[in-house]
Amino acid sequence: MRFIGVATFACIEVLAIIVSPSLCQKIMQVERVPNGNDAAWENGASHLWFLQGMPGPEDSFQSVAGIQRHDLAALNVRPGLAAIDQPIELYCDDAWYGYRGAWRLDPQASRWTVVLTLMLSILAVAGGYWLFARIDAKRSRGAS
Amino acid sequence: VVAAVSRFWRLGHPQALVFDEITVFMQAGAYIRGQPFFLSLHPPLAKLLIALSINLFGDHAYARRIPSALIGTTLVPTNYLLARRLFLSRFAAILAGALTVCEGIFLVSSRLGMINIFYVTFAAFAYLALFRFRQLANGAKRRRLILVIGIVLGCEFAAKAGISVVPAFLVFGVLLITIWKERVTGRKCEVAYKTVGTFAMVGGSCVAVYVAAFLPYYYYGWWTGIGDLIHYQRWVIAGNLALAPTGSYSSPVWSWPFMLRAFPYWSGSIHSGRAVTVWCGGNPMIWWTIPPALIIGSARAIKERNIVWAFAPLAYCLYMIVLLPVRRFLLIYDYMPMCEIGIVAIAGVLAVAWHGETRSWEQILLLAPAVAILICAMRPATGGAAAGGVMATWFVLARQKNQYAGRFVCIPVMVLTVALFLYFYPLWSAMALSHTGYLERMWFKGPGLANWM
Repeated sequence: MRFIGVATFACIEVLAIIVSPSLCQKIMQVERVPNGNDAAWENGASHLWFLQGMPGPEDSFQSVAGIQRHDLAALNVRPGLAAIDQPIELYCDDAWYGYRGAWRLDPQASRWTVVLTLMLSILAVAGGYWLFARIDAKRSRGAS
Repeated sequence: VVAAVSRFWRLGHPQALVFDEITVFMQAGAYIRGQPFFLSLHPPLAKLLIALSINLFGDHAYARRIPSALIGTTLVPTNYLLARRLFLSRFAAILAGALTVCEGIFLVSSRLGMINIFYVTFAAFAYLALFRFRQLANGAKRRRLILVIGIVLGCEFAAKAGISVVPAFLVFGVLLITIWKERVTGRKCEVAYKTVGTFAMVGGSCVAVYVAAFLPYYYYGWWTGIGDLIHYQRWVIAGNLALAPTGSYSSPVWSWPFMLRAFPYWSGSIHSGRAVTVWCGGNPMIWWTIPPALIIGSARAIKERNIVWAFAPLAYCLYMIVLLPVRRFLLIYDYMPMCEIGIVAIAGVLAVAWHGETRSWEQILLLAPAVAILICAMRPATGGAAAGGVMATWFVLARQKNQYAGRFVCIPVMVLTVALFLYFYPLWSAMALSHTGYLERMWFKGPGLANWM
């Protein structure tokens, strides 16, 4: 019985590690559109405005992803509630960059580290409990 | 029942967002909607509970205060049970419960959608579980209690992280002392295994609960891995270090036991010349009795070599040691965890006084705050006369029989506690007062640190 319990627990944890990243992790995947205007990009503009569709109110993106502005280094974080695979045009100062992006599931996600931390802490609890129980059992055997 | 009524009655008043409710409400909203991304210096558990309440009961003042009121109400029976476990006295427990009901800073924190009452109550849960652990012999129940302690401490860290180090250190320390004291000669490795086991259970559950509280950050995709949580901790430290050393309403740690800088959380518009305020202040009778009770408790701990009496003074000193060097501005509500432990100490000391087990110096020490209160609350001449009457009665009784004098000490302390609770209740619960009534309650009006306005 004890073996079955431990094995089930281990299987659930391993499955969680494998499955969880692909469930949730999203990154912005950016691609250059042929013949797009990439002059601004190459001139070293430091910020991007992400707008969904053609130029319009910033809210149109905000309602999707919850962010308006990011530097380039932050492209792969905080996608919020962005829909997967929905094309997003990248603008800066109302000029199209010539790039198009979309939030995609990230196979290289680091979300598994959270699951791993949770799993290790639960294992620590289980291990501590077992250690304590073992000593108590030994002591009660000794007493009897 | 009294606790629940005092916490829930007119909970929706004022309807406006009060003090930090503004940021807490915004953050709770972000957890509900998944946007915008934000970071706070405090972890999310309390705000998640408030978000849950808003989701369940709707977006209005009453709903956003229900979690605080619920947990604030549970603090009363928790302190009752804690005092009962500590002092093995039903009378001490009743006193602890009554004092907790009458403590204003707990009341006002339970009536606002802010985070302070959560971590204080979680600490009280942990202390209660700790002393139940000490009194149990059954192995399985004790192991489960260690788990409970770990989970409760995890909840405390997830509600307010920095200050939670103190109860965690204290509880873990007493757990280890208990285990080491129970060792059987010749079985040293047993103690080592149990120490490791306790550390794993408490530490593991703390980490699991703390990380779990941040799951919305991962669910909404704001964070990607555990590295973000570690960066967040660094950000919190840097943020706290960057905060100014003083701010409006801030007060130094040493001034808290004297309750010099209470302040209004919120002042409403004045209708027909009446003042409506939510006041961040305590019950002066309780606050001013805490230091004498801790001194008496320390003397008894030294005399009796007893962890029960040492616990409250130790916890109080530990909080002071941690908070005194803090450079950022602090407000008087940061005294709440010390106040909680102080209330338990008062209850224990009054119980032994009632049973005639206190000496004269201890009784005088307990009466001193009552004398100060009478002078502050009344006009100097009337207050002085009343205080003189109290001291004269005590003196007469002390000459007859020590037990009578001890019992007498409990009466002014508890009567004044209840009287001041009723007197200040309008200030804590946003009830309208006349301007004269409001100003009469402001015993300290500045300039300088001693200012309740």
